[in-house]
Amino acid sequence: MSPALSLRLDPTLRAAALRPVFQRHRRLHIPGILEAASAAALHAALREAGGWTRSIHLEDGRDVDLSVEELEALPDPERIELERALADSSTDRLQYVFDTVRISAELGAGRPVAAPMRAIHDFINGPAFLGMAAELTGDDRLAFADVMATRYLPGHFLTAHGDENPLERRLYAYVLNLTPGWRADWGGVLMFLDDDGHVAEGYVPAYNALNLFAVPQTHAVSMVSRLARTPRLSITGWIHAAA
Amino acid sequence: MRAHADVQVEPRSSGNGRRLRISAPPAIGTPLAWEAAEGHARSGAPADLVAYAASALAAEGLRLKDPPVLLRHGPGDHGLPPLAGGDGYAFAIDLTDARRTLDGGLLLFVDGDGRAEGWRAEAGALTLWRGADPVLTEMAPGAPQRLTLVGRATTV
Repeated sequence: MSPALSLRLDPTLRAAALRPVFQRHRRLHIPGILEAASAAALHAALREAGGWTRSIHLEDGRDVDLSVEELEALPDPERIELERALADSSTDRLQYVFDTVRISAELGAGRPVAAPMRAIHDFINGPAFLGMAAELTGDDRLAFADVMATRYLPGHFLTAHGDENPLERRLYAYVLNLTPGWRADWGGVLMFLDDDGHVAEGYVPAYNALNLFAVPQTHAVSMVSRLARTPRLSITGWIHAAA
Repeated sequence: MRAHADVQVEPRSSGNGRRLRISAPPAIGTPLAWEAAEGHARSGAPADLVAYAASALAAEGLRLKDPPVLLRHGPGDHGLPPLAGGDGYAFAIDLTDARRTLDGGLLLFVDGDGRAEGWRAEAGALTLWRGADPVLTEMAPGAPQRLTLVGRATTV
């Protein structure tokens, strides 16, 4: 754990008591997952983080990662046209648009990662968090988690998908939301969809709440509205079985 | 499903939203006088749409409390006028289809804990509720126009 950011779960959390609910429904929303001071520190680290990449996934499977710094340096007309094209839902080409710091991928590639980001990665992969997830799911196969920070700005979204990837042995997905005071009409709702594309259940991104769900489940993140006064910040990724 | 500390909470309905399929809506034949409202455009409803709503509500043992209003949401639009309140019902009848969830314009019922459930637009779907109004989420850029008949109802 980096001394720069010390993270602890809420000590009153009793993961085993939640297991029957999780096992019955394959997903759970847990408010107040971190101690208050940890949540505040993590939120501050994300809010102040640099090195964001605008991550765009096209339907043909291509990922396009653009440096947000470079995007912001584009002349206004060029940048506005690009952002308009990215947000246009009249085409089905896009699968997601949001900003990310791919913490695990950066670490895996041996590239430098800011100390708070490394601390988040270590915490999610540490015995407290993975142990809590194992206790909650009743699953002893949990080996490691990949971790990325995400930042959804107005117009950002994630289309419906199930997270299946047999090569990566993904067992569970998690989203730890870290924006205080988020409102339902700002969008950014994690939505679990039924076969008709209706919202069977959704979670407004509540500050310091963990959403944990078994893979696969069809889900999406609704487009963040222009009304949103602050970015939707979260730590997210998958928990994997050992290779 | 939600959990708090070591308290288990079973899944529950938002309690105030109900979705029903009704007959296909009639075409809107008459020109409408749209006026700008907060987040969308609104118009009085033509007589055949009023009759359509009245018929759908009657099948549920309800009648119109006052004349329904037609709403138009295009890209960037959102929201509903205040509808709920008192001991009556509020309703929304979708007159157009959304192609997919991402188009926005979802009717989302959100409880006090931030748990949501809801529906995308489907022409000929009646949503009835009591209590707090749902959120109608912002329409995405490029999304097709959403037409919705909304109003209040009371028991017959």
